[in-house]
Amino acid sequence: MAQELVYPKRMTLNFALNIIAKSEFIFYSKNKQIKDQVICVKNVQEANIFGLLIIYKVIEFAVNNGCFNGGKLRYNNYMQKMWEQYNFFDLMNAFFVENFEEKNISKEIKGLDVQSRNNCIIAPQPLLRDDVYSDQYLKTKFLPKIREYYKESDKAILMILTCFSEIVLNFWEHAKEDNKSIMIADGNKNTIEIACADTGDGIISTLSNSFSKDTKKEDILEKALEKKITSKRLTNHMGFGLFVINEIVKAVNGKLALFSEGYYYEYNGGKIIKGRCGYWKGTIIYLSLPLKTPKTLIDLTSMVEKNHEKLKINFG
Amino acid sequence: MTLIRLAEYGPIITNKDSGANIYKLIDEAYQSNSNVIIDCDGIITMATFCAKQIFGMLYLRIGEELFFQKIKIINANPDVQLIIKMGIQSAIEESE
Repeated sequence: MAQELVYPKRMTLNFALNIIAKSEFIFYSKNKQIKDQVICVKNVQEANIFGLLIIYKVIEFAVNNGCFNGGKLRYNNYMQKMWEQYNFFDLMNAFFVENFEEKNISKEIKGLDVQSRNNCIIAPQPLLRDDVYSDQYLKTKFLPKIREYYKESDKAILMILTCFSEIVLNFWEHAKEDNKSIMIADGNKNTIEIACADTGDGIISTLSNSFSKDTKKEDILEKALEKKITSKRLTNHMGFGLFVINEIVKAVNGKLALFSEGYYYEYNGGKIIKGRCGYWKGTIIYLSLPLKTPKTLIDLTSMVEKNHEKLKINFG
Repeated sequence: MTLIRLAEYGPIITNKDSGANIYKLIDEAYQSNSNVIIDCDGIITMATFCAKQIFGMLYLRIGEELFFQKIKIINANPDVQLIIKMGIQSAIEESE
């Protein structure tokens, strides 16, 4: 029998544990074809890209994995405005039409666009596997508009795109079960937030074998941020992606949050919190970067190794 | 001499396919007994994976001396230079 999945008033990072706890049941409902499931966001009074992305991924996973048989999305004016602001409204509704077709979801994702105003930029980046669209969109829309908006600071652009590159590559390489996601960047002249959620192979599963059996699962996410930690040794994977992001976040006193398979890690203003949370198949990554004094790799002593001096490279 | 401009893959190099294509271009140019100039103008950054995939693998394949003599990388900003070094160092460490 369907229960109404009611999301809380606040759909932001600060309430992540509650949001993920609400969401986890879909991962246990694969192929259950629950009749007339209602997803309810009509109580939401505050949301940001974190909350919006979670709702999207919950519904996308549920629909693609036979969790529901018919269903409804209940929302209030606030959520409608938020989805419209992010260009998500048609996308969200596309999951609940009578003659649902998966190709319509890809079509709606391709309808997303970067919106740039004086006071903010909202930049979704489609992540559609096996489709050249994502790469074309990245080059023709996402990157030019990010560069234009932040043109007063090449350093800020470099910092943003360094983090972005690693998040995107991690999605392509480590979330292979997930063929349809969206990364969102949302910022103003002072701060940018970037969030990406996938329902592929989560960090906990993929990295467990990289550590000793004594390693507690609740420590894995923090360890994943160390240098040279990769689930794919002896490949082109270096184990630097999350390390780079984490070092930049620490250097600019930003925020980084990871959620994966029942565990979470949060870095915020020098404080680390980690522990157990609701189950999320795959990984959610969220970062917030202050832009006043941006830092890039050359500013980070942790990136430079003594051995680099010995390398013979002709940088004409 | 063969000039390979990376700008068409930019301004960020962030997927495996682009990395594979770039590696192939450089390798083919090198194999045709040519000195290779890789122009990074227009590349703001690249994923560390791609740095190892392209430059790390090439460094291992042709060796340190030939890499220095035959491959010249120009117009790489300091961050891209560092990422390239990181990629090469990672490849060396894994081969040891």
